[in-house]
Amino acid sequence: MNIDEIMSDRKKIAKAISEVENGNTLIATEALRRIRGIDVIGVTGVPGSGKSTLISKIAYKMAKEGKKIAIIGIDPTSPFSGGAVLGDRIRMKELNRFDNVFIRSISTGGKLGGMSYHTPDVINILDAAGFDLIFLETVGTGQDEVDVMNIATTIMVVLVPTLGDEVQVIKAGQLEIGDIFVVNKADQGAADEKIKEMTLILKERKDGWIPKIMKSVAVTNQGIDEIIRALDEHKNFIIEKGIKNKKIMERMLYTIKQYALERIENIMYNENIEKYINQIKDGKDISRIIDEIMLEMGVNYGKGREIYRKVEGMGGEGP
Amino acid sequence: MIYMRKIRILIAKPGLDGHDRGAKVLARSLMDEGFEVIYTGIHQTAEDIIRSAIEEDVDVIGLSILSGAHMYHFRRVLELMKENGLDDVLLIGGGIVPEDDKKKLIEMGVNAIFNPGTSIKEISEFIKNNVRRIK
Repeated sequence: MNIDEIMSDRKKIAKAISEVENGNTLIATEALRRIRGIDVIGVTGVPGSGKSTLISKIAYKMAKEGKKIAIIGIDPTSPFSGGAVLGDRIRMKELNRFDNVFIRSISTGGKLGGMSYHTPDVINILDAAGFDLIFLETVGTGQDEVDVMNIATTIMVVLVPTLGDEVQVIKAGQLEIGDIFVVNKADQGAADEKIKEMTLILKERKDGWIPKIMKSVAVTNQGIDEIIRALDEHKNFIIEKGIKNKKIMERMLYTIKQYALERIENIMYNENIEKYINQIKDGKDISRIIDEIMLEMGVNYGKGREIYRKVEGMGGEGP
Repeated sequence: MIYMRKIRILIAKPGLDGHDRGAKVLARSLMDEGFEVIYTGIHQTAEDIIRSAIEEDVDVIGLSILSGAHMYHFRRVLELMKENGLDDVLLIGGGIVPEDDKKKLIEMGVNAIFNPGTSIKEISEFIKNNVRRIK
């Protein structure tokens, strides 16, 4: 597949995404070389908080103005079957009328952190393909899934009024990464209380941005205009402060890092797991096998073993 | 676990038929069989279905129709599949489809119709054995 051809129509973009999801590094690196550095709005938050619906409403207004918008929705892969139910499109039906919108659902592939290994590649393809803006909806998350910060230029964290007390709000993780916080479903529970709790932690970031917090009721379009204004404000802020280029560079480096991580996982699990299992069955010492795996990944484990031996009370001689 | 390209299946309910319990159960069961299922929900037009199939680059389109309008919907989806060059995508269906109509649909180009009582294994095997793309 020629990259110029890929970028020319919807079907080819879709095929190119399948290719990179399938591990086609040629297309992935070609796209990486061609990225223009467009805005990527990462949308994250607990399952059922209304991420898909919010994106749909925001994208609807933007698409109406003629913006070319791509949406990536991520849902989890079953750790048992490897299959997945990808259901983000259900909430985005009304976007089907726009030719300038492209939606794709992808699975996590079992990777933790809220995205799959190839999510950066997918984003790069869409960036190179000429869209104006990408929405990246992470898998429904808990506290610790912050990978999206490596890809997005703006991060929107979606909350609901009914979750937890002030202590939840002061913990590390997702609530540290949001540029914009949206308390969705504000018609239920005590939304204003939630906002009051949140303002406790919304102090100026290192880059000078003061996170915004706002209310919405996505299904009835309440608060959508305000969110769009806040997104615009952050977009302009990072350009003015010269942070945007740094963020795009981070995305590029993160893309490459994912290749390395995937390679390591392949060495450990896919390519050699049978071999190791057989060796264990044949009575080979497990610590020898661990040494070999570490060596294959370029880590000399010898030093670690010495330290282990020197530490008292760690159970005899060690491995 | 490692990412490997799975067979992707679009499950959609065309037209006004809102009985989606079966489609949801099927989506979940096909996930348990290791497929990636894109579930688009009810009230889909043929155009919606084709658009989703293209963007999601699916291997299989599965329509659930309990309303009796199967002849119309399958014909329209088949037309659009041809128009859009989706020759390598399987079209299958489930629901209340009389035997006579089933024959006609298969002649028209639908790859399989699964009536109530079909086991998930049967559907899963059919898909695995008939998917046209070389992975």
